[in-house]
Amino acid sequence: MNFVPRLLQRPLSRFAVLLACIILVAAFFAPKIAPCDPNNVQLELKLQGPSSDHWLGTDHLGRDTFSRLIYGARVSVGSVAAIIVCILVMGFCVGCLAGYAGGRVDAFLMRMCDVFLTFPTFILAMFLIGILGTGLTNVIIAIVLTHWAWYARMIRGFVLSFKNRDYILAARVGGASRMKIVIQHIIPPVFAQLVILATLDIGHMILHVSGLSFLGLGVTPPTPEWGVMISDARQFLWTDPGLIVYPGCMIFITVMSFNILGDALRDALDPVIKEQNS
Amino acid sequence: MSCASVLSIRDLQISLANQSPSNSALVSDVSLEVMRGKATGLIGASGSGKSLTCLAVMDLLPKNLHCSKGEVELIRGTVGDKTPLCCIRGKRAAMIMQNPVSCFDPVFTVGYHLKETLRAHKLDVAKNINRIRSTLAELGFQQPDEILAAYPFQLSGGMLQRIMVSLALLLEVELLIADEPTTDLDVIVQSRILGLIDRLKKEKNMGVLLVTHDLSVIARLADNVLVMHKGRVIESAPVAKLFAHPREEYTKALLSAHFSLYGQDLSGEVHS
Amino acid sequence: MLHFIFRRLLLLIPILFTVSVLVFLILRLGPNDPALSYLRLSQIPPTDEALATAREFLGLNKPLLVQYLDWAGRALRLDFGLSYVTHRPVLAEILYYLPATLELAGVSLLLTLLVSIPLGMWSALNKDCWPDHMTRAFAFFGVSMPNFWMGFLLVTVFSVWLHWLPPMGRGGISHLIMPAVSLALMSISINIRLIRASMLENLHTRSVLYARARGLRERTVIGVHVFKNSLIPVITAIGMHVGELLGGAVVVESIFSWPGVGRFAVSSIYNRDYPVMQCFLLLMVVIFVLCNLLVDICYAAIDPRIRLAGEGNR
Repeated sequence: MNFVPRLLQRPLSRFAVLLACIILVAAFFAPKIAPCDPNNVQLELKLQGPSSDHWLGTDHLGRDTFSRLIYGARVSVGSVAAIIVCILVMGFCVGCLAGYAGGRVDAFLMRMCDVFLTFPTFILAMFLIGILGTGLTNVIIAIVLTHWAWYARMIRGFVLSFKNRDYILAARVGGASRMKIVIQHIIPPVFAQLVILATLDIGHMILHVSGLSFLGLGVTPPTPEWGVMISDARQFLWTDPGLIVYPGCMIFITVMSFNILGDALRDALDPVIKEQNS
Repeated sequence: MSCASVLSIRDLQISLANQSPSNSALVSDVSLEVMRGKATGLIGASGSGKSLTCLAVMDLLPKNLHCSKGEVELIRGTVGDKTPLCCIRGKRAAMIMQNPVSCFDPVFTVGYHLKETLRAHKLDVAKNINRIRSTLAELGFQQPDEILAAYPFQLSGGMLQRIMVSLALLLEVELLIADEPTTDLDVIVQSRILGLIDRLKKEKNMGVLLVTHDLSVIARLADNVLVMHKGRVIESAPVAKLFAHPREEYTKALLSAHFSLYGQDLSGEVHS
Repeated sequence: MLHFIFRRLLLLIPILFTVSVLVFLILRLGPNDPALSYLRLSQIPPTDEALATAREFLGLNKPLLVQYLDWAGRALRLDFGLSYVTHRPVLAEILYYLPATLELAGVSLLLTLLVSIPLGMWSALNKDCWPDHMTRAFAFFGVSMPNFWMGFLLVTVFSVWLHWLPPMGRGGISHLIMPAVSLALMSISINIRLIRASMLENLHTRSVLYARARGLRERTVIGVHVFKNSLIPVITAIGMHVGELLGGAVVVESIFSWPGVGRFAVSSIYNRDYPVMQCFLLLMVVIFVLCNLLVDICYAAIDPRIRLAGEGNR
């Protein structure tokens, strides 16, 4: 499976992989990379322009913008990673169970999904945070709760479509146990589809987290988060537009690189999936 | 081109559009003739270039392919010449395609398909509505109006195949191209469709280009047969002669494979 | 068709019922005591005595089921209680702000369809040529752009630098342009990609080949057959876009000080003004569900396979 070369075939996807790697490195090694403490308030240095000490200047509390951006990557990437893992686990369990068990279990689980899907996601997330209170953990819980149903449904669809393929029937005729069929023949192709979906959704999740934080319903200040930074900077829109531009750029670049990566991943994985199943 | 000929193809070569014809030819040196009231059969394995040849006649090749050499001559005028395509497609030559369910647009009724096609050929629908009904009745539809109001997915493959035939009748085409007309149909429907094509040939004096991989279909309908193999015509003969004295090894193999499956001598089945 | 609509309306009842139970339960079983919020917002010191009175007053002492029935019964009569902050009927307050939000979301939806359908088609018909590359780049840009940041960029350029458009508030069309654009950008981009993909898929079906073989003009083949078939996924996606737009409107309203229901809802969430939150969420669900119903009806109107599914084949 020459998967990696196929992923890196196009220059655009190479670029996206590079960007995504840089962001991941920044997130992992933020304390090593960032020149200053992101929460170090120095009121006498507030709203300074770029200098050798503060590469991108300082914000209204004199905190180093560059360091805050790097720590922001950590918050965004970390929260989205947690969200994706939780959603995948939840969606996977529910979807596989519903798809493979069928009958009443399926009907019940799918009605549950239907109920969750009748809510506009962002608004339900806002509401849940309103109940649970702000903070990173609650944001993660709220977004997981608003998105899992969609995944569960997709996964159920995949399982159903794979379940009736001829090679599964052949395995059954050959006497393979149910468990073995699920583990060997259903989970791997379903998982490949999921990876594609999840990568395409990372960008969306980042936008959700930062959007909620921007409204003051997400990560609470002083945590360096990009949405919070934009929200903090809005009062200086007329005097210091840079403060709003940098975090916005970071969100944009991160989301874009994951979107391109998702597309490239789909192009690279899909023929593999087709070959496996045809 | 003799006066009785409705289609003549000379030295047709089809190749990839962006590569030199010499090393990318999918079909080459195909020459054939279809006469009025006669059927020319084109037989070969899948991938031998039969369907591409048909598409070339209608100028319907996919964008990445083109006719790099040769001529396709319909009754009046050459394909790819100044004659507008819409005057050839449907009007002079009609197609019957395989897997008919996928050939109709599922969001429009059968009636819409028929009327739209008539309109495209400048025929007044209101004036022709009775002709549509009688044509459908002629093709064995008891209740033409119900058929017209039905959506393609509500009809069976055989019924849709007959709808395709009805278009050929309505537009009074001179050439009927039947591309695997009986694949995917059950035997009774198959025989019905073949009977129908035979009738069109004899009663309406149409020329038929019959593409198939089924020797019994050829035996039943065709007057002349061309055997295609790897993009070339390797043998061409009247049907009785081909079955009785195949020249090429490939043709012999085809015939003997068929005999070993069905165990009968096809030459006896060939119509006189 | 009427049968279809009726069946879909009936299906709504159990779903809305479950939604109402869920909305009620989340609030009641959440970690916070509504009585406490009530006292805080009424600026009464939360003594034990005051808490007890507030619980009594809000009916929090009754069994959960009775509370739900009370609440749902009143909700059915469109009585969602009084706001803890303003002490006015919640529904009236929300309905006061709602038109502004609907205006913003509606214009954005319109903008989405008007821009994305032609662009998506243009892109598909010129696959791998410059219009396609440009449109795809634009779509990529759009799906990656946070709407709140887009809003600020627009304000910076068109209000701060160029002084062309008012930076905030609701008024004429000039007030609407920037909020609608920043709200619609995401949906436009998603839709462009969707339309392009479905056009490309439909361009290569056998029914298109046969349509050409029948001698239809290229204009008819694409404008009628390919277009109508490509519209089906687009219509299904409108439901999803409505959800996105309602959610996005909350953010965009906050940027442009748009006097809509979203801003009101955010402040009620800050305050934990529970009756407002409940009413807002239910209202949004109802709007969302009704839009989806409308979408399903359009879908069935376009696609006979859906419409005739329940009636059995001939």
